[in-house]
Amino acid sequence: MRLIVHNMLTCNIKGVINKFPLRIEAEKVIKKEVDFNPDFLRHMLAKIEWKALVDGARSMGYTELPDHAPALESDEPFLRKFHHALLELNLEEGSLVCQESGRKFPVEKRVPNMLLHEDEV
Amino acid sequence: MRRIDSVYGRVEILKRVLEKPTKQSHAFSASRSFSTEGAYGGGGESQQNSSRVKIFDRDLKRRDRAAWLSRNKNDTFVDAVAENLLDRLEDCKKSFPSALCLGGSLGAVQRLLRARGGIEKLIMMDTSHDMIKSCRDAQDDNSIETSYLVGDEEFLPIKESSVDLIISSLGLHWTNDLPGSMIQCKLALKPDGLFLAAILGGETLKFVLELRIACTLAHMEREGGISPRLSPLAQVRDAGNLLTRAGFSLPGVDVDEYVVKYKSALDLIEHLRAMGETNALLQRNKAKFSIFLSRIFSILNRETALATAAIYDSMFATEDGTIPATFQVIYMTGWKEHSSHPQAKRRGSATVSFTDIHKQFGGQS
Repeated sequence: MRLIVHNMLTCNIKGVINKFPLRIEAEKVIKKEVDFNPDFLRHMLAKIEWKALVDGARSMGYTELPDHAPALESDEPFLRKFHHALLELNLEEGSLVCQESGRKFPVEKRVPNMLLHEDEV
Repeated sequence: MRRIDSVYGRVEILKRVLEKPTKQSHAFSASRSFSTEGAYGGGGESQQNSSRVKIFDRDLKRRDRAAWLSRNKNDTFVDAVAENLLDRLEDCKKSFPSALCLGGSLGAVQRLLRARGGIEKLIMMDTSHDMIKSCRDAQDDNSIETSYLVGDEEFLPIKESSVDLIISSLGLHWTNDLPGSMIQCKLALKPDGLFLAAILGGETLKFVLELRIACTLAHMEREGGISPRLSPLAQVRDAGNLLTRAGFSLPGVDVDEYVVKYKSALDLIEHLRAMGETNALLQRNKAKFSIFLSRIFSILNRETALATAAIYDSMFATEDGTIPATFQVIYMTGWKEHSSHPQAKRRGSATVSFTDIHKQFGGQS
């Protein structure tokens, strides 16, 4: 699971108010190279929840991202870091934890499993 | 003979019979060739209430669909529906940078997408882990940025206003709560986002209504009970309501009917089985070996299946001996409200009267 997806995942248990973002508990993180596409990145920059991205990257071991997204995004080194955090860091095994309810959604083989149990619906 | 119209508790389960395991659990004849223009099975009524009646056993559905996918890579029907759906992306000038594809025929959508709609980021979601794995393995290197996720359409784990497009090809008719799922889709969409779905309609296999009766008769005779076998499907008239109820703006519904001709009723059964649509209804005779053949009926017993096929063959074979089956696919489109969408004007705010127009064009009084 990459941070580009993590940035839109929420906990879907009924009654939970603080459902985004999910905290990442990383067990195994891999880095997979992805083609650098600055236009795509600039496009995504506007839509990403920055704080969630930074916290997510930190939990996966990447601390290079600045705390706030810069106003002028055409800076190449920044885009490279953004690219790495957003698309190249991949959570192979671990879990996503809901901040409010504590429910853990497992991530197995890079695929997060957001299915709820019988009693949670 | 009681016609089974709905599975909402009106079906009487006469007797629950424990099935003896049959030796030949997969004894059906191998599928012969059949011409498919696209088809799917089912018949029933729409879901009007949003209370969560648990009709489908989703776990079962999850496992069986994965099994089908591993066997049948290219089903013409499924592809035809996916193609029709994806074609609509070319009809609008808008591009959809991020798209969510909900389970159903994920493989077909992934294969046939071909850069339509300006999609840059694609998320594929299904309740079955195996299905997701097969899709991921099938992904070729040239395809767009795709991510995979295991999740339930009824409990969408997607943040509000985060995707531009949601596509679901032949998947939503399996949800227990269709209106609820659609509402969640609407919430997940960004303003001016598009919802595109294809579901099976209630007229599907209406022609084969009698097949259901035949099956019931056979089943009753052989196994001494009636299990509800029909999954409730939406009618066309309800599709519009579903869209407006979910809060979509500019709703659009259209219907396509596909006719499939089978050499014999057994072929029909075999195709439905191969499509992997199982009878996942909760109320069913539990059998050790579940031979779940189709959405319409669960033929747990080979003899019942043969009896059904025989009855159907004798009743409905056409002149050239083929069995035609009609399938109805309902395509639904809806947009998430946005200020640019035309709204109906307030009543009484008209500035021109029809009588004036009438006079201008000199019509007969």
